[in-house]
Order: sequence, then C-alpha cells, then structure tokens
Amino acid sequence: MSELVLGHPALAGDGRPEMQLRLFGPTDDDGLEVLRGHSVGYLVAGAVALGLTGQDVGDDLAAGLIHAAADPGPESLLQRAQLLRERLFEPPPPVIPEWLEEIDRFVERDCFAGVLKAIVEIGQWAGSRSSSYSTGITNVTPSPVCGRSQVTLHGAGFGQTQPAGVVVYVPTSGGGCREAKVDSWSDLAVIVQAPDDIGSGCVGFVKLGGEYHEPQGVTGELTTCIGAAAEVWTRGFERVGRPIVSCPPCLPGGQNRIRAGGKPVVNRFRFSPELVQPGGQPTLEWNVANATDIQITTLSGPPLPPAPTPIPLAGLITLPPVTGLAPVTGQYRLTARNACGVTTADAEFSMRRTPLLSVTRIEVVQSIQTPTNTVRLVANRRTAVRVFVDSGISDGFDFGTGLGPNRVGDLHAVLVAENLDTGVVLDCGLPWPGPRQAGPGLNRDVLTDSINFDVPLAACDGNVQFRATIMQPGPPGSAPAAPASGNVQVSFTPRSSQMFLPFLVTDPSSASPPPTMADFYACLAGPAEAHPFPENGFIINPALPLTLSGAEALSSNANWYWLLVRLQTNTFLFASQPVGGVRMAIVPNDSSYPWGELTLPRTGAGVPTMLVRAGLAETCTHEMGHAAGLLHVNDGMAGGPYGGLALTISDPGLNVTTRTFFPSGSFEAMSYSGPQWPSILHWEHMFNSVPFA
Amino acid sequence: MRVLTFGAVLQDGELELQPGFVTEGEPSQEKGELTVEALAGGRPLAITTMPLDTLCGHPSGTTARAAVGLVAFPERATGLRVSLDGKVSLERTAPPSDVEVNVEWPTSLSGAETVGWRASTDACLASLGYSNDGGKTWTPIALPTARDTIDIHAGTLLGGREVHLELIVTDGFRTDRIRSNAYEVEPQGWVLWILSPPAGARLPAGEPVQLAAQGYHFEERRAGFDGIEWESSAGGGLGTGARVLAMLEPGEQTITARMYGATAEVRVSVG
Repeated sequence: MSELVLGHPALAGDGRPEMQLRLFGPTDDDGLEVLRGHSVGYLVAGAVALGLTGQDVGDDLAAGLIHAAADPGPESLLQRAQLLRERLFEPPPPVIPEWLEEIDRFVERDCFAGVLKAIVEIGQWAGSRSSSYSTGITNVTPSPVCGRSQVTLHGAGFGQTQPAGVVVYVPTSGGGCREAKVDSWSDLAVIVQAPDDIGSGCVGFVKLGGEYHEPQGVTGELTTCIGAAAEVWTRGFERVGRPIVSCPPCLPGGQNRIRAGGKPVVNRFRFSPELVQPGGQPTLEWNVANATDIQITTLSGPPLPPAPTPIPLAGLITLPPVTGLAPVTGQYRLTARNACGVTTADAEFSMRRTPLLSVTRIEVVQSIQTPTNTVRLVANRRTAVRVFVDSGISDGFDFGTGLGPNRVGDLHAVLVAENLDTGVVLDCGLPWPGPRQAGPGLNRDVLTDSINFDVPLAACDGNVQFRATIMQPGPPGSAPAAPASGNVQVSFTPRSSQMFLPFLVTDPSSASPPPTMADFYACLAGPAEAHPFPENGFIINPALPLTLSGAEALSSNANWYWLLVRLQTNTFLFASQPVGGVRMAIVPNDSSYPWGELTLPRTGAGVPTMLVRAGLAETCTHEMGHAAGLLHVNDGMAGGPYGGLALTISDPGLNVTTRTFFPSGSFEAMSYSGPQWPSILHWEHMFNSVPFA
Repeated sequence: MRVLTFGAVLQDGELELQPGFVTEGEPSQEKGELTVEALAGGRPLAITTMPLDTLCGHPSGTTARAAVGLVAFPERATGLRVSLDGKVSLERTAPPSDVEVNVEWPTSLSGAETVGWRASTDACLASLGYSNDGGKTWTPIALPTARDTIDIHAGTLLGGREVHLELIVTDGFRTDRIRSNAYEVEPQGWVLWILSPPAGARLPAGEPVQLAAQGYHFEERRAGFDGIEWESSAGGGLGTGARVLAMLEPGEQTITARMYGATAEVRVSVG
C-alpha cells in the first residue's frame, strides 16, 4: 500500500516530507485531487482484499485514518467535525510519511466494519458472470407495452420449458434492462410480466452465472468514512441494483424491439438556479418523453406565469422577480400521462438573502476584556474566546428563525489556536451552546451575540494567534457560501502560584461540624474563577486546626473581631516562619453566626487574614481583593476607606468556568451590591499583586 | 527593633486592646487616627501611628473598626497610651512584677498532646510555636489564648530529630519565651488532601464531578500536583491529575487519590 501511494506522481520529488495527503478540504491542485481519488481507490482495493479474508476493524483506527488524511486547516476541520463529532479533540494529523503507515494499518485492519461488509459484497458481486442472447425471437406484442401488462415473445426454438439459469430481460425507461417475471414458456412463445419501468429497447434472454449480491452499500459507508472524495470514486455503485449482465442484443431486423413502452419519462424538471436572492428570477425547465399530456401545478409559493396550451413536452418558464424580506420557497409538480399511466416529478426553488459573513472582532476573555484585548491574560488559565460575526445583511431580511431581522444563526464555526512561539496548532473544539449567530450591530453585553469557545489549557501559553472560520451551511446539495475568517493575536503571561495557610476552626459551642479542607477549597472557587490565578494556581500549606474555648464562641459578634485580630497578631510572633501565605480561617457553617465572612481591608504590615464560614464561597472573591490590598467601592453600603475602583464594571465580565455572564454596568466585586464581578482595574491590580502575602 | 504587637477593636465607641507581645520588627509607618505612645513613668518614649479601619463583614452590616500592627516599644517602656484622633482613649501600665511562667511540656509528640502553662499574673496570653530544625525557623501552631492549656495535633506537625516547642507568654508589656527540650518526631513525607468532592457528598448522577487534590511534602515544605491518580471503588480508574473531571457510577463509593505512596479517600454517594 505504501509503495503504491509513494509511487504516485504527486508524491514524487524532494518536497514529499512537507506535503500532506489531504483527503478533505478544497484544493486547487489537480494532482492532489487525482491523488485523493486514487487514495480512496487504494483504500477500496485494499479493503476488497481484506474483506474477502474476513478480517475486521474498529472505529479507532478508522478515525485514525481520517486524522491522518485531514488537513489542519479550518475548512478541513469543519468537515472533520461533521465526520467525527465528539472525537475532535484528538492529536493533529501527522505528516508524511507517518500517516502512510496509518493508511496501511487502516487497510490491514482498520476501516469501519460496514465498509468491509460492503466491500465483501462488491467482491462477490464482481465475481458473478452472465451472458445474453435474442436467438429465435421473431416478434414482440403488444406495442406499445405498459408496465404490469403481459408481453409475448413470439418465435421458435425457445424450448418447451424455461431452461435452468435462463431469464427474460426487458428494456427499462432508464436505458438499461431488467429481469421480467415469466408467466408462461413454450417453444413458440414466452409470455412475461412487464415491470413498472419498462421502456423502449430490445427484449431477450440472459443466462446467469454465479450468485448475486447487492454492492451499493459501499458508497454510503465510504462516504461516511472518508467524505466527498469517496463518494465520487464510488458513485458508480449507486447505479448497481442487479447482477452484472449485458442487456439482450437487438436483432438486425428489429424483431425483438419494443418500440414504445411504459409510462412517460420525465428527463428534467427543475429550477435554475434553485436558490435566488430577493428580486431574483428562477427559471423552471422541463423535458418529458413518451407522454401524451403534461400539466404543471403549483404546490406552494408564487404561481407560475401562464404556459402555452397544450404544454409542450419540453420548455421553460421564467418566474417574475421574487421579492420580500422573508424567505420564499416555491414547490411545483409536473404530471405527465400516456396510455400506460402517470409519471410525476417535483421541482423547488428558494429565495433568501445570502449572508456575506465577516468576522468583526475576536475577544479573548479570562474574566473581563476590552474590545481590543488590552486586558492582560494569565498563562495556563481557563480562557474563552468570543467571536463576533457580521451577517452582511442590512435590508431587514428576516429568516424567521426568531433571531430577528438581518441575523442568521446555526453557523458552523471553527477556532484554532496557534502558538506563535512553538508553531503548535490546537483546535478549540465545538462552540458553546447557543444560536451561533451573525448580525449587524452585535452587542458585547449579550453573551449569545458572539460565538463562544473554550480554549484548551495547553493553548494558553506565550504568544498565540486565534483564527476563527465561520460558514453558513446551505441546504443539502447546495454549494456553501465562502467562509469568513478573522484572527487576533494575544499573549499569555505566566503568574506565580498564590500560597495559603488554612486554619480549620472548631467551635464547640456550635452544633455544626468542624470545617474540612474541602470547605477551604470550595471557598477558593470564587477567586479561582474571577481573579488572575493560573490553573492549579494555589499552593495550600498544611492546615492548622484550632479549637475555640467557650468564651471564644463565634456566636458572639465581638469574638469574630478578636479571632481575626489574634490570627493577624500571630504572624508577628515568630520572626522566621518557613510557611506563609494568606491566612484563611474556615469556621463551621453555622447559620446562627453573626457573620459569614470577616476581614480587615487594609492590613498594613500584617499578613492578609480572613475568616470565612464554610459553604460561603461566593464572597471569597471580595475578601481576596481585600487580601491583595483593594478597598471597598462606595455603593452606599460598604464601609470606608474607599479605593479607586468605579462602582460598576466598564466591560462585560465572564466566568469562564461556569459560563456566567456579567454585562457591563454590573457592580464591582468590591462593593456590597450584586450581581458583582471584578472590573478591569481590579483584575489588573490582582495581576500585579499575585502572589501576595 | 523592639516592638509590641498591637491589636485593638473600636466598637460602640469603646476601644478595646488585646495584650501585646514584645517581639522584634518594624513599627507601623502608616499615618492614621490612632496614636500609640510607649510610656515610661508617664512620659512618652516612642510614638507610633496607624489607621483604624472598618472591618469588612458579610453579609453587610455594621462592623467594628480595628487596627492590627506593631508599635515601637523601647526596653524602658512600662506603659501604653492610645489616642484616637488626638483624644486619649485608654492608658495601660505594666504590672509591677515580672511574669513568671510554669510550663508542663508533653513527654512526646505523637498524637493529641497538651501544653499546660500558668503565669504569675492574671490576664496573660500565650501562644505556641514549633520548630523541627533546632530552632532556626518557627511555625505558630496556636493562637494567642488566655486558656492554661494549648492542644497540639502532632499529626499535623513536621517531623525532625530536633523538634522544639516554644511558649510565648505576655502580660501585655513583658513577654517571656520558654523553649522545650528537643523531641524526635517521625517524618511525615508526602501527604495528600482531597479538596473536592467533600467527604459524604451526595452528587447528582450523570454529571461530571470535579476531583481535586493536592500533595504536600511536610519536611521539604513543597506542594505536589503531578501524578495524582484517582480511582473509584465503583468504577475503577478515574484519571490522573490535580484536577480531573470524572463521571462517577451511581451508588455509594469510595474515591481514592494516590501520589508518591500517599493516599487519601473520601466516601461519596452518586445519584
């Protein structure tokens, strides 16, 4: 297999190691297109051989082949996404020559079982042999012949009974021939039942050889497995519905010819173009054979202009301009009649505005971001990317999807991240659930106005370029519109881990259980999601368990103050302390306590210290801001002194972990009002402060 | 520089002071509404200022104001005067005699132990430090307390051949440090903490669960995140890493994390 592919002209020469066999994605390289088709051919040929030996393969190696053959470009990734669905997050395809080994493995033992089954059928089908003849036929009656009627082959020497392995084939309207059921057989006449699709042509006898198997399953299986190239290569199988036979030969005098037969044949009935813009004029074209009368009726959509009467067997009608600000679909039916029956065919056109997609902006968000990505990013931290796409529609056209005028949804979107330092390209996977829409005047304060992605952690390091490719999938069979693309370059900066020294406080006066390390960790969820800490960015020192006396019970307001003071005082008592970090004391989750959390905003020379009731994670972000030196925002409730933060956030905030969104204008996290989220100044202060204490 | 720890709370217009410990350090350099004078014979020897800040309390409500820091406290100082916005709020004078402290050290450090202490004067506070390197570095293992016993959880202490405890007792002006004889404590090595899910958690079925853990080498004082292996008694291996999203089988099960021979477990219920 490798030798076959390596011997192909497209792979000859010195450039081979840089090339990649792209079974997917568009290409202007004719040689590559040929190679693509040949590769599928090799694949089928190999599978034929293996299928006949009865070997089986699994999905993993089949997926491996797809990865091996796929181009890492966005368009190809889109196609791979459709083929593999949830299997997107696998390593990028290797380059030649490694992938050749993958194809070898695929051919040896690794295509989909369905493909193998179909291939086995091809092999068996290809092994069958037959021959045809028309000897002895002098006349055929009646004429014309209709489907499901009897046809008599007159002549001599047919034999008194139907010979074994000999059947009668009659012509079909599609140009081939088909076996007809024999009603009676004598030496002078053979009477058969005409099939529904009987047509003009020659009738006669076929002597079958071997066993018959239907092979057409291979096209669907391989198309699913490989994609469009396989469909092209195996298209011929679709026409195969019977054993390989040569249709009966026509006798020189036309003795075995059926001159006219069967129902009308509709050769063509369709619109050109099938898709028009508002104001466009689709043309309906038809061509019918073997009919005595035809009619064209409107099933739905705008009525057709009057046609000549009677309607000719071939013709065309151009519709008047199809206008409007909503999609229009026209469906029409052609009915053709003759003495043998009725044939119908349907045609359809659509009018809708074709979007001209463009990527207007890409925002890389870890907590809050500006339109131009000026907020600094932390390496190895959960990150989301918001891609804003303009539809290019401004005339108010409404697709009726509920998104409103000028907006299109259900776009296909791919985002890749290329590390500009290492060259590694990573796929960001499927977008978040949502309308995946494009439109003019998108609002940053609406999360669903952008197409949003999670970024793999491995991609969040150094200088990174994010590239987005957006496509609007057309109706089945239609050519997709040109994809829109955009990119943005950002830098991820490493930040140190933040150290903590937990205190687990047992209060015998409380009925609530003593806090645990899990309670401590749960409290850190808020800062982890809102502040510039990297993944695994907390170093937790061994917890110090403390047990309060009855006089120190936290049911007393004042005892909270004194516990905080004592915790902070303690940091001064020993000059050389080997472990440190923010002192965070977790107290039992007792709802009767007067406080949920308590901290001293301005700590002076002391180490930042806070008391937190177990189970109250949400306000830890606020307290962590204090620990880093931030003061309150004056919202009329939080006490002074106040720092320089604004009351509300200037840009939308996003909790990437929970996908919770905070529109601009939400309250600053250092206020007592909600919903609240860190502002840009808050984030930048933390960015500069970590690690503190 | 000789300083005194300072902790004060202003509530309902009344300033209360925690007895300070004499130690070494730099006094507060911040400006503020509090002025703390170290006195000798009623005359100031040193003056320190510091702010009095409103505590941040959740849920929102009226909190006290507090100040914590270090104030200059020369050797000859025998008293303290605290003024708020120029007005004297309180004045304290040292007891006439030095503090004498009796300590009962535990005979070994191998489990739940207790340090007992008794001072010659009332209203003393004590704190306790721990060293596993012969006294080069110290870790506070108790908060300042007036109780005459301090509990020690030896299982949370670093191992070493020269382990000492140090009790610090203060009457607010004079501080005594009493160091124990050396103990030998078995090294702890690596320990592992499961941070999520919590023990006893009831988790919904069919949703990924965040598993989180951290390793820590006690004696080397470093955290470990790599190579933490997870498994469930109900479903086998769950993945590797400090943070792993895992789908758990329904039912009661034990989640186990392992790293460098250290093991941690939590029992959870799914569904």
